[in-house]
Amino acid sequence: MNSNQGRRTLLVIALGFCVWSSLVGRLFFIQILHNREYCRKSKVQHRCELVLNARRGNIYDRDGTKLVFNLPVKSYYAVPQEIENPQRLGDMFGKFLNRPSQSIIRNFYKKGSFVWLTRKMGPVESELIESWSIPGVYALGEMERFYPGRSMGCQIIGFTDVDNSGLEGLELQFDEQLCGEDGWAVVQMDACGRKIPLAEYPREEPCDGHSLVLTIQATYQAIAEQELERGIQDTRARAGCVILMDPVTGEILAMANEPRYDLNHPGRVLPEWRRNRAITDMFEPGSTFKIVAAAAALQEETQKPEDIIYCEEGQIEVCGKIIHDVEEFGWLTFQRVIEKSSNVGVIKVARKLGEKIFFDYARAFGFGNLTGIQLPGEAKGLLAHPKTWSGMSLASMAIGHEVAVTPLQLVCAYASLANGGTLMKPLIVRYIVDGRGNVVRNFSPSPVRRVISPETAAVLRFFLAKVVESGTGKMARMKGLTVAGKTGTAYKLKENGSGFSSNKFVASFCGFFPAESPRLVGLVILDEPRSPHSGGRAAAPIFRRIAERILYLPKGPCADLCLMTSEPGDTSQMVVVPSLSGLDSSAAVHQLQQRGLVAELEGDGLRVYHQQPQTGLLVARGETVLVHLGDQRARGSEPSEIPHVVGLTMREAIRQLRQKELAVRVSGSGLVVRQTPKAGSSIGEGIVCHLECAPSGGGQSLMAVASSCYQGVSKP
Amino acid sequence: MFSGASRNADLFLVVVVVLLCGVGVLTIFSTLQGSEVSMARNLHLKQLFWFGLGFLAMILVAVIPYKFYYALCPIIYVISLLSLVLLFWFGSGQGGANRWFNLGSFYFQPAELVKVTTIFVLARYLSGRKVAAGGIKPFLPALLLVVLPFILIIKQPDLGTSMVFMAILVAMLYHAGMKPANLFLLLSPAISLICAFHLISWMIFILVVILMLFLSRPRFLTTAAIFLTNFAVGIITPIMWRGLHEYQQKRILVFLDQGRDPLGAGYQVIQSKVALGSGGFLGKGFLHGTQTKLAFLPAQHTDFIFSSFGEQFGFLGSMIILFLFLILILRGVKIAQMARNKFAGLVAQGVTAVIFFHVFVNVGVSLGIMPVTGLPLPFMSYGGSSLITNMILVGLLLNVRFRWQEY
Repeated sequence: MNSNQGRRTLLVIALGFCVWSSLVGRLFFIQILHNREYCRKSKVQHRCELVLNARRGNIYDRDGTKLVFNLPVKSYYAVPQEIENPQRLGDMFGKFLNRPSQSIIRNFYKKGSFVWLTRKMGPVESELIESWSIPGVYALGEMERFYPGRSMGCQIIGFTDVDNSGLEGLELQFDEQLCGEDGWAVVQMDACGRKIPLAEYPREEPCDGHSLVLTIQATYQAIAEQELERGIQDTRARAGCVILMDPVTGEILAMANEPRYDLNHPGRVLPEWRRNRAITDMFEPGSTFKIVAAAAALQEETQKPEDIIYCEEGQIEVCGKIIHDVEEFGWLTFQRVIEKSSNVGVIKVARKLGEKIFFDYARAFGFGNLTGIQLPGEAKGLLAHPKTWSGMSLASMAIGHEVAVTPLQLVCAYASLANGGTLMKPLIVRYIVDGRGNVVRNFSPSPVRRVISPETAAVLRFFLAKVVESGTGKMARMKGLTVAGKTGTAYKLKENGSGFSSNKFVASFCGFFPAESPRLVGLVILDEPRSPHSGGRAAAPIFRRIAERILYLPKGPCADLCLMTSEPGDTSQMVVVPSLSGLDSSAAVHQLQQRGLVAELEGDGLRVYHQQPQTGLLVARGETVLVHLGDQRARGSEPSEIPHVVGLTMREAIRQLRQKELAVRVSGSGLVVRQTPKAGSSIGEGIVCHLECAPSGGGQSLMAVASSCYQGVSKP
Repeated sequence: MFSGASRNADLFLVVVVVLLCGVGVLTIFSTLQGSEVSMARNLHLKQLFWFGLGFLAMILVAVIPYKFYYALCPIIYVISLLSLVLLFWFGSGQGGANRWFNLGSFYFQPAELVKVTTIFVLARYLSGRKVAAGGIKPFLPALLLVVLPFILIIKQPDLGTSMVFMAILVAMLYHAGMKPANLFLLLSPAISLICAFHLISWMIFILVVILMLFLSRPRFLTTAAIFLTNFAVGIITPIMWRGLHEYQQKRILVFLDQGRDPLGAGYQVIQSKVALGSGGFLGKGFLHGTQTKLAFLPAQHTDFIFSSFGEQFGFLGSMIILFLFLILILRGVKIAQMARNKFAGLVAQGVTAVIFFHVFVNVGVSLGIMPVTGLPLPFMSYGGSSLITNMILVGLLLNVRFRWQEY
């Protein structure tokens, strides 16, 4: 009995222990073996993390004009379980999206509780969709990239995909900085998939993307694009590109490619159009490359500028092949060789240099290497090492064949001549700024290397100025401003690679102005222009037209250059409208008459307060200038203080004072170094502000830096 | 006498119980951190109060000689059954269940009391000399004693608590000396009921019953009765099924297929497993249980307190809790075995069965191996009636242990 009782108790204990062990086993299974899975579940399934999208950064031009920003848009999705009438929904959206309604309805029967209906609808479409008020359709606020300039700078800026990640251009290159960091919020998700955000749940606010401030000047870009487009139409070229650059800093002011496309609708575009030819396309530069030989010869002193070279009456034999000149030249000075773009002369100069030195200079100018610009897809170009050269190579390369360069490399090389011999790294993004405008990253101009001495650079600038003055680049000539440059007309290689095509060219012009202390380097390249086809006749005029329009812009890096050209006694048919403000009527009329302009007076005041057209604009001789005479008091303006303008460029100073309707008189040019009456004194009747300007401003602006750079450069 | 008393007072048992209650209060405190209802923020203090009250009740119950209970139990059994009946008119509750008397400031759950009284009457009946001999027939009145509260409680409806009475019955019958085979046959209609939902398993079960009947060879009438009951239950159950409350059906269904109703009971089980599983070996730390704090765990201070604890203290902590319960139960079994008085031994066995059943079902639910029944975890889950009842049960264990030498 007793042992039986003991056995029974043991059985109870054993049974109980078995049951207990099953609990322990299950506990071990859940907490240890499947710990990771449940951890994931606890995070993903029930603590649903809702992504809070970061706002993508904007892109600004150098003056703060928005090139890219975000527009709030709405995307619509359906929750299939909540749709009452799929047919109606399908019909509505089918009609709206111009799609068969079945293709929409089909999605409702797939697994999942989320179906996109249409994405990124503007306010008008949103209003329409919401007016239907279909149950089961929800809107999600999103941001869409908007490119107000449409096609402006399209290849530089690039675009994003529907989820706002960069696909091309700067949008791609700086995607990481632009996109910012998405935040998240933990929301409780119930079994129906509804998300319930609660204040006590953890939440990480999104970190908005940084914005880019480019070196591009929007107006320059627009002008470059317009003029390139026009030039391409005139010459019936296939494509083309223009680069404008500040030679001193290496900042790219404009980079235009044709054909262009609307960035707001990038999907419909051929991949070829998206290419930023200025950095991705290589071409044989032709005569524009002759500066390499010339620079090397001058720097190595194998030629002096005044040396004379026999040009073999227009033909020279290289390894059994004859290379011709366009004209038959006899004896030319070195300077004339470049001016006339004599192939024979340049080949002779290069031969005197030798292969090694020529190659070293070509490399030093940056050919065959990446420039390191902050854009994706840059090509290196082709510059063969002398080891692999044939007997022809040196001669060919001297005149710009057997090498392939990108437009950007070429413009950088010319910029180094313009700035006194230093190759600058090209810049397109100047600053990265955060949402509050603080500079996060500053890309300051950085020199790559000194290629030639300032003296050599000055001599070459003189050579190139002569090219424009009386050589092949005559079409780039401008009144009142010395332009320097070099033309290039290269035969294109045949598609099959068997020699050169006889009627396909790449026409180019690369130049800068003013020749003495250049402020702007520009390159125009046309791909296969039909007529005219030469660099001098097809590309140079585009350069001139761009330069002319840029010069008389009230803003921009070249804004004050027009004042240099506005000296009285200009003999051309175009004159610059003088500044009349503050003058009395007779003085104003006299000023206008002196320039061959007709004055039309208006108003009954004593002094000029407004004029039309404005100061600095280029107008034809004989044009009428509307002069408003008035009195500040009479216009009811409140007395206010004279703004502080010392340190500003003359243009900016004048603009600011004009805003206060003050009359301005200017002496000198460049930056304002003194102003009378002093800033802060109250504006009284008839006050005329005297601004004293000087070319150097002590490094207060880029312009000041630039102008100080030129001080040391001797004129040829 | 005092030295004997101190030797016989099971302080170890008291320590284990106090530890469990303390952990319970702390866990209740932790589950309230994420609660939006500020009114509910002092539930842990309330629980502490119940614990104090329960502790006093435990001592009181332990001190009173069990002979007193033996004498009184038929009366209190009837009173407690009446209170269950009164619930149908005066009860209050939620989710379609009338389980409590609303006594102003607190609720009283008579089913908790009925557990105790049923243990008493059953013990008294089974300790009678006439039933000690064995066989099936003498146990039928015992079955009746349990089935009365079982039916009253299942009508409330509270399936979980009514099942506790089955556990009491099995444990006490076994302790009274019933053969396992007979026990099986006696309970076979209940198992037949569960199997009835699945035709093939039910047929297999019927075959097993026939085999058992053949082997144990009871008298012909008994054999016929057992077989017919099994058969009838198997056929009636599908019809009964429609009579069950929808939420009960749902709970059973959800247990069979946990993906069926993610918002309902299955959702609770998934949440419980996620809370436990994400705790890992060492847990997330006290007050750092995200599932608990963010209130994803349903009924986390009552039915799912084990999950909440497991999330915060991990496998290690959960094992400690399970070990404490194991100690408690083994202690109970030992006390039941050593008691010389048959009534005392049966009471101890019944008490142990109640605690064991609660622990097993509650933890089993938290671990997803049991259907959601709404049984609290003894000593830890929030709730006055439950805590006090459990303390009384422990008091009974102490009582039996204290007087184990008495005949």
